[in-house]
Formats: sequence, C-alpha cells, structure tokens
Amino acid sequence: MTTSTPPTPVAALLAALTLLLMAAAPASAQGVGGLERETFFSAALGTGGMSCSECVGEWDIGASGYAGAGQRIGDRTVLGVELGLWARPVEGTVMYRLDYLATTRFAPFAGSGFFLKAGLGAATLNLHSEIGTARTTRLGGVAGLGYDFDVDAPFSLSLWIDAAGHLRSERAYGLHTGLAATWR
Amino acid sequence: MRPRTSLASAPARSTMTLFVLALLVLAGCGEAPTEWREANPTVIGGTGTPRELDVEVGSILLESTLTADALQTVLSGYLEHLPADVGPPAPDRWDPRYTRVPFLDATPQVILQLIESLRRDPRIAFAAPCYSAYWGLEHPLYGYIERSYHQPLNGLHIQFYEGTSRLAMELVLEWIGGNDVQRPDPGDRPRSRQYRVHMTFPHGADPIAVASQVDRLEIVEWAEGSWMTSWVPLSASAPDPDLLVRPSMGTNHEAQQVPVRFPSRGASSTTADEMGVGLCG
Repeated sequence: MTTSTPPTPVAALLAALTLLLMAAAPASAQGVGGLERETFFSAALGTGGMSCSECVGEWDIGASGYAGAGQRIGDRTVLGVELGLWARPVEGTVMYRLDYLATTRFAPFAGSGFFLKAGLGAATLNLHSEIGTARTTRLGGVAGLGYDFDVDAPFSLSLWIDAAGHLRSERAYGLHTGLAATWR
Repeated sequence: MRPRTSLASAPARSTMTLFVLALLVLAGCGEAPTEWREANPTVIGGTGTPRELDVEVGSILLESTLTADALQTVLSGYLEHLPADVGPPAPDRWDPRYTRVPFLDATPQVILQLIESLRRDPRIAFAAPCYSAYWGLEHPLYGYIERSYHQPLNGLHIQFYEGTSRLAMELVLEWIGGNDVQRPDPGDRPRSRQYRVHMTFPHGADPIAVASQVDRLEIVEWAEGSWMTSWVPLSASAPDPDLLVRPSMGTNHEAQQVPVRFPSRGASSTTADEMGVGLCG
C-alpha cells in the first residue's frame, strides 16, 4: 500500500510560481538580466510568515527582506552572500529572524530575468526584549525564485519569493516575498 | 561561454569585499550568553512577599545517568580540596529520578562551591542544593509556619500571556534548553499557554535564576522553577499529620501544585526539624 503526502502550501505555491514564471519567460524582452553583470548589490523588502513544527498551524506575519551581494562566476550563475531578515513585534518584544547565507542564483533561460536561488548558512531566530535577546541558531537554508526587471541601468527591480527555514530540525520555517532593488 | 564584462570595476570589487566582510562580522556578532545566576534566590509564599532562601547543608540533589559508585568517584574528585564529608549517594525518597547525596559535615559555602563545579560537569545533568526560608507567620492553610524547605528540581513551569504566538513560545523554550516539553494539548485546551518543561540547564546555570530571567520576559505571565516544598509549622500537635508537612512538586502558583504527601507519621513523634530534614536531609 502506498501513501502520498499532500504538498505543503509552501511547496505548492513555489511550484505554481515557478511554472508561471517559466511560462512568462520567453515572452519577456528583458535582454540580459541582472545576472549577466559581474557584481551586484541588492536590498529587498516585503512581507513573510514564519511558523514552526510545534506551532499547530499558526503563522506569524511580519516584515521581510534581505540585503546581499554577489559575483558572477559564469554566464548564468552568481555566487553571493545574503543577510535574510524578518521581524514582527510580539507583546512588547520584537521577534526577528536573521539568516547569514551563502547563496547561488541561477538563470535557467538566457535573455530572461527569471532566476532561481538557493542558499545555505546560519539561521537565527531571536526574541528581543528589555532583559536581553533570546536567540537560537541553527543550520538554515533558503530556496527561492524571482524575476528581474531592468529599470534603468545600473538599477533593476526584482519580484522574489523565498522559502527559508531550519534544515536539520525543521523547527522553524517561513515563506517570504517582496520587491528587491539591485544595483550592478 | 560569454566573456566576462568589465563592469566589475576595482571600486565595485572593493565595495563588495567590504560588504562581505561586514556580513561576516555581523554573523559573528551575538548577544553574550545570558548569565543564568542570581545572587539571592527568593521564594514567594501565600503572602506574596518574597523571602530569601538559605542553603541547607544536609544534602544536595543530582540528576545523572551515572551509577552511585561513579557519582561518588566524581564527587570525591571535587571534594578533594573541600572540607566536607559526603555520604553514599542514593535515589531520592520523594522522586527516584534524582540522586540525593547526604553531607555529614559541610558549610553553605562548600555546598555552593561544589554545586557550581557540578553544574559545569557534563556528566551531571542537574545539581541543586536544598533551601529553607524563615517565615514566622500564620499560614492560611497550615497554621503558624516557622520555616519552609525547598528543593529545586530539573524543570520549569511557564505561563505565557494569552495571545502570545506559538513561534515566540517555542523560541523561548529552545533558548532555555527545554528538552522535554509538556505542551498544552490544542485539542483539549486550545487556548492554554501553560507549559511544563524538563530542562537541560546551560552548564553553570542556576535553575532559580533561569526561572527568574524567563519570568521577566514580556510575553511570560509567570515562570518558576519546579520545586518540592515542605511547609513546616512550629507546632507538631495539629490533628492531621499529613497537613503538617505537604511537600508539593510544582511552583508557588497554587494552580500548578501537584501535592505529594509525606508518608503518614504520628504527630506526636514528629518535630519540625525532622520534617525539614525529611526533605532536605
């Protein structure tokens, strides 16, 4: 007897967005995307939800974003570093996530702004209060995708969506989306 | 392969290098570990007034997977330079998960010094002295109370404020090192925010101080270490001997107390000192 596990909302959303962006990619006329430059710096802002394996379906919605830098190592691949952010006020305290990640961005389609992203690093979850900061640090990862729109060189704007979380224990995970500005 | 473009100028490379270095520095930065210590541990009784706890010198309580013989070897190593005479470790009579080590001759300073060493020993999961507090007042349930005796256990009770997110609660539990968390059942008590935690205390930590720190978090309504408590009245001539001393495992919050009664003893043959030694000796 076989059993199938229903896809999680995060996985389903990621899959749907991937298909949508892949379908749209040939029609877009972005020319070379941001990935074709040597170096880029980006900052992003958006919204995101965090949950955990013991959170019985509860999601905390807060502000999300990231800041990062990258270096192109091939036609379609960029290696970079990224500081992932998420924050939400909780009863007089601030709960926030800070992820320190090494990332890879890959553009599967030449001439399209579509990119995929994966990263690995230290994922921290913090609760800042008057008496100090409660912090847990674990191995974390991020997987995401986005689409880069050239606005006015050397600037571009990207729509992005990331799934991030603790890799080994799956104690905390989240889904984040927003708009990124890139300078290259 | 496309040739590399020349857009990566030297200033851009330098800026990126600086950015990467800044990220690495940020990654290395962290809050200093919380100092889980409290100089003057206190207990709050039914009156709401905190009373300072005195270290009792009769025994200490340990939690470890070591055998009694191995424990004695560990203790001998620490006591080599301390003026104390230790008896054979034995399972605690009230909670056999713990091992009680009796002292025939020790001072509070020696006890505290030994406890501090044991808390830093990875072979010892938990170590705590027994405490007492002077009351000298009329207790609404037990009559006139001279002293109370308190034995910290390896656990915490935490009541979060209603509306606190689960993620924040789980973060606090992970921060303090709770390794066996009894969470409220969302099916039975969907709005409950009360957690009972069996701890792995950070090495060197004082469980009372950990509870005190957690209690000060804004999202925590109250937090308290697990105790066995014995309320000892001045007179041992009350009609029901079981009411004379009622050790309770739990907290000072009445709702959390799980009464554990002493074995029935004759009131006439029981003195307050004997009852105190019953818990701390």
